[in-house]
Amino acid sequence: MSNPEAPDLTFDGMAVGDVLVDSTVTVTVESIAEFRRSISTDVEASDASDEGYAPPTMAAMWTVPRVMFREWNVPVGGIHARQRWQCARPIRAGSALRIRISLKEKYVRKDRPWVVFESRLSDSDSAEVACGEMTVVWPV
Amino acid sequence: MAGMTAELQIPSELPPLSWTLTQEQINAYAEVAGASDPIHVDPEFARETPLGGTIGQGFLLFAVMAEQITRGLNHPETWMSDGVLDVRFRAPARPGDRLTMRAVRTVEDPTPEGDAATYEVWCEGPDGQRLIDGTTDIPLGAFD
Repeated sequence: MSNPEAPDLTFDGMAVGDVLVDSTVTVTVESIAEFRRSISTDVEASDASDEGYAPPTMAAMWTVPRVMFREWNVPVGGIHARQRWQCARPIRAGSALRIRISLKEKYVRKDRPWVVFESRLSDSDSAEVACGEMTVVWPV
Repeated sequence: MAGMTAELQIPSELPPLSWTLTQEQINAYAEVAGASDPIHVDPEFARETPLGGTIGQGFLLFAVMAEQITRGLNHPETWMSDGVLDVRFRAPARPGDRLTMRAVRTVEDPTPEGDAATYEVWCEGPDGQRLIDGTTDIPLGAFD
């Protein structure tokens, strides 16, 4: 759930280039197991998941919403329209990930506000782990 | 890389993955990731919206799609090191929907010149409608 104590994240309040999140999250054995359970389809996980790797999109689908919803009061009703994700290296338990989320684009199309968030994740050596873009029809 | 690609067996399709999306899974993902917009987890709220009921999180479906892709690879860690997944969300997936993730090569070329194979990926709903579609680039080393 979005944090009601955090600042409101609004379309008008965001500007292209704004860094909305710059935070560090540590991926643990427990968080990997918890995430894997939540996306389980009751079939065997890939071999890599059994070798201590986090599921491939855990960086995006676990860390990004966690920090976004913790640091901002995000309005409900947004529509996730597009997602791009590029992996740069596997994530293992114990990894401390630096997450930077910024506003890449903001525009109005057919009277609806759209935003594109860019996420960049790096490890403790500052090596890039993954990056992505999420396009959202912003709630009005 | 070109010499290696000639010997690789690059499948025309990765094994599909089918499962039934449940409200419990949506709730579990909301709890874990904090993605708990009421359109996902509050049936009473969702019933009053134009969608008429709860829907699965795009993040959740994206994560399952990536699992389906990596499960079909000999070296999934290679995709985790250089893979790309790019999709558009076309229509919502609802609790109770039987969903199928599929990945089919876009070009039947046994010796691609690049260092990755491109697959068309999609999430099929119960009536065959594509709820999500896009592409993934898979490094050839994943098939070695």
